[in-house]
Amino acid sequence: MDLAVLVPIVVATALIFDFTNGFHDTANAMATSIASGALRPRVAVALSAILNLVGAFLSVEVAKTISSGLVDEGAIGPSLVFGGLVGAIVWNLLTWYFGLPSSSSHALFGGLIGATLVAAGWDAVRFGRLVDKVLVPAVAAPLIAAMVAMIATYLACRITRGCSVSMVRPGFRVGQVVSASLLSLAHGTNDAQKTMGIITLTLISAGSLPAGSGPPVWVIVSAGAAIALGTYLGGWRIVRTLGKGITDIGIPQGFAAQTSATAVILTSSHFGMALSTTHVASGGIVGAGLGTPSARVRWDTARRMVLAWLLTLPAAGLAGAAAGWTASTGTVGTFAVVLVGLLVGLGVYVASRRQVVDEHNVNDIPVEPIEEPTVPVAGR
Amino acid sequence: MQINWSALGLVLIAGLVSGVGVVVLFTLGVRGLSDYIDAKQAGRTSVLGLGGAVVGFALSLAIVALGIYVIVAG
Repeated sequence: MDLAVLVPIVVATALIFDFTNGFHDTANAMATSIASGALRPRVAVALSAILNLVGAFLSVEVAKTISSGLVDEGAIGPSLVFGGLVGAIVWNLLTWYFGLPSSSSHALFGGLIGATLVAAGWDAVRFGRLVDKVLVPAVAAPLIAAMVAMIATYLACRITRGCSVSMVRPGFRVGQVVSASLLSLAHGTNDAQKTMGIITLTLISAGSLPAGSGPPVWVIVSAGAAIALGTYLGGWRIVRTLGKGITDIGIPQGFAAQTSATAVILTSSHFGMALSTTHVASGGIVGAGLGTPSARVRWDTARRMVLAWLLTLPAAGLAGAAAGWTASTGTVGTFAVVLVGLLVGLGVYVASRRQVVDEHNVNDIPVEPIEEPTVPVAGR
Repeated sequence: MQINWSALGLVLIAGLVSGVGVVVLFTLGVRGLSDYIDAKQAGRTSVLGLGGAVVGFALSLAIVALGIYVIVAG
């Protein structure tokens, strides 16, 4: 179809994906601070949003590939990128509705792989890299984060045992907020860059930008703004699952879980293995529960999360395949995908209004309470 | 299909050292400050507490700066 129509649609869809990425991932940085009471919910999401925005401007080096080399990008045009984005958005919305933290990057990979498979065939997908880039990190991330957070939580509780709670709490609170802030900054840098990369590469493939050029200022500004707005709107459903659904997060646990998660994300990306923020943050919270002798971990919530992680790639892939195939048939197909996408978004929104989760009830425990009351405070 | 175990091991060790390390350092700072204030209220001076607070917080701050550098440098 006419690129003059298709390219704006792809750009808009990429920004919508960026927005869902923001509200899906608010929980990774802020669930522990909100649950432990270190920050009031509105303050937490506002802080995270601002830092995501700042993060978007921090690094000028944008992603040079759309799919991190998972698909042969010579074989995919704007229609398929559009289809892949739609698949990722649909999966992000559905998992958000069920309050499940799932990786936005995996959703994007899944959507792109699905769209590429139907349009360009199996040869255009590099399945070998899938193991290396997606599956191994997905298994390793929560395990590593849980181990780090478990040891860190245990030691933090040991070291502060016996000091008066009133003096320990403000210190941990500051530490937790700093860790959450660093994670928000890193998130803005990484994830907004992905969107900038997609838009820039689409503009290059349409001939609007010379090959090899960086993102124009309006791309940087709009990508940063979209992710910040998404973060500010909060994704409260997922915040509640991570903050209250897995274990009881007190001030020391929140500090240890958040700091461990931030440290694991930054060191792993420094060493060139991109771990999903979602998997690391979730693993960190499980680890904090395991490291607290008096706390319980609700494994049923953890199991549901892992199930969502396993489904992310194939489910976003199916949606991406359907959207990509339909969009590649031409103008009518593309607008049909736009229409269906808007209807899905509206449907999920309407459904979510039946039982609203927002800053007022974000700290209510989602399902039945943990059997034993736990003592989340280290000092007595 | 092959799994890069050495990269995984590196990430695990680096995560353990940095994550547990910064949590322990900061917690020692918190503990030191708490001990210092406790002692002060009792009319004493806790050199160990003050030292722990200064060293723990200073090193934590340095690690935060390193973190920002890692984010900006990519």
